[in-house]
Amino acid sequence: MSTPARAASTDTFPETALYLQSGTETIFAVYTSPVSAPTDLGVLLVHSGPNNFSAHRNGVWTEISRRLARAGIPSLRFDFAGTGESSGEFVLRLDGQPVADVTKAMDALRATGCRRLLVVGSCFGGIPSVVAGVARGDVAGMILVSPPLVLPGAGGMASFQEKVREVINRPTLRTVASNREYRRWFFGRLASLAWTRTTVQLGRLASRTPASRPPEPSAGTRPGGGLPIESELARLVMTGNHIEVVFGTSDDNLTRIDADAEASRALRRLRDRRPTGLVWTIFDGAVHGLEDVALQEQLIRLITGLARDLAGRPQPA
Amino acid sequence: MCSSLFAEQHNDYRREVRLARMLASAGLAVARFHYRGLGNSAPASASLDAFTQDALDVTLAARRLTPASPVAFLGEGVGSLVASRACLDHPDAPLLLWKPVIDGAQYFRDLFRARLIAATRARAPRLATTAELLAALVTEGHVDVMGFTVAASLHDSLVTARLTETVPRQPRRILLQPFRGARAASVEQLAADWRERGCLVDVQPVKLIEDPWFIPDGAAVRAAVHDAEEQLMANARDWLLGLWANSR
Repeated sequence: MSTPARAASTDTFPETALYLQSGTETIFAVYTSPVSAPTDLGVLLVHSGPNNFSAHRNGVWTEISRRLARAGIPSLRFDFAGTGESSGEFVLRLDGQPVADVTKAMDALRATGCRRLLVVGSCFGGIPSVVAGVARGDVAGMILVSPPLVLPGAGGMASFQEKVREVINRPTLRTVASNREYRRWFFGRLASLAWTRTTVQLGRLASRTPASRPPEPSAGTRPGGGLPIESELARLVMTGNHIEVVFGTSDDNLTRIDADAEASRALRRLRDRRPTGLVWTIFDGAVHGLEDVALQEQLIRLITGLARDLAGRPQPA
Repeated sequence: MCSSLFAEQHNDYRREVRLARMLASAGLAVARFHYRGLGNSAPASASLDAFTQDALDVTLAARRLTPASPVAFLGEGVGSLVASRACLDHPDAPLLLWKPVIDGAQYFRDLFRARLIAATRARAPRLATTAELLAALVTEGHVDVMGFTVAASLHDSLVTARLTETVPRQPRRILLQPFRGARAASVEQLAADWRERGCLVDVQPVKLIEDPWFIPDGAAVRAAVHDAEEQLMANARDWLLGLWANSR
């Protein structure tokens, strides 16, 4: 399963770098051993996908791992194939490689001796976590941090309209009008954007590349409204797992749910069936991307608190 | 390899991994690391001197692992300031700089402006001004910039740092690969300064954006970025291999 591991950290936080074989790819992981009496719970930390790596933003995953180690809880954080230190190219899919990567990481954590798993998935990372978790019986809980439960656009990527809305909206225009620093930055970026698009168009003309390329593979995504992973979430909730979904009030991933009647109905159905199994936590501000240090600390406390709580509960027979 | 910092690193990290593997395929050993207190490294106080020491320690460790004797330093973004200082201890080491940060003060001005975009996109109600941030650095010892903790010790050591003042003590081979953006404007002057001091400086502008936060991630744009990155890395590899082949 794992090729030779190497000790890679300090006396205080015994950490081991692992290289795990996930299909044809080799994924990188860091295992943090408990520094007090070990519990039977292990925590898997799943980052958000592209442009991220095992430590997550501002080392949040690293910090969580080390606080858990003090509480006797082992943890593992890893890089999806095509991100961080792992091999391959990252592909945004709800099945295939990302799910295989999470499964392999779960197996590696179990192999260290823990019997139950708490899985924490950030943004996109929550989706393959749910899909991988439903296929096994050792997941005791999941925390999904601003997950894209409703996919942006039809194919998993932000639509052109959403991109336009990101730039042309009231707060942005207000700041452009009122803040000289921001105005300079904003128009500088627009110029960069125009330059890039022009270069790409010219490049296409020069190479006679067709304007419309085949869509990116995103197998498993379903166009239109609703929750693409509703059935998987339902199975996890109904089988007694603790599922906590965390959003910020200004997260686009939360707005998309509110704007999608079918998705809202699906979530109400889930919560009605087992209210204590699907906990909805909303922080004030933006949780998505962990772009606020104060919210990072709240999130760290939530995750380590739930891990300690689960570790203290006896394993169901 | 001395990497960039904060939000910039999230875009740069994978590029550095890919370059390392490209160089390894060409027979060159490469050492990458997380600066102390960051990423997967142990908690510690951050400063330019501390990061430079990290780079030197990693160089020493890498030399124990490989029989190769010549060493080169690569700095990306603000890591250019680290790499250029570390290489002062290695008189023969070539220096490669990607989108180099030439002026630490300007770097922080740009970083604090980038915070405005991030906060506006997140619909934050009110943004702290740069003056308020600088005051908080003094009173609290750190500030939050787009979800990254910027420590006063790091800010204070970087804000006065300038690449032009990192005087190469010996004639040195240097490759500057500026990306498109504000930093590129100062690169020619930097090259001229260093040439005056006896360095052999090559400049290879790169068709990549310094800070691509506003660039849509459409397939065509991603493909163009990927191609430009491949070219950047191949040029760096070929420059280094050519240099060492000629010196044998």
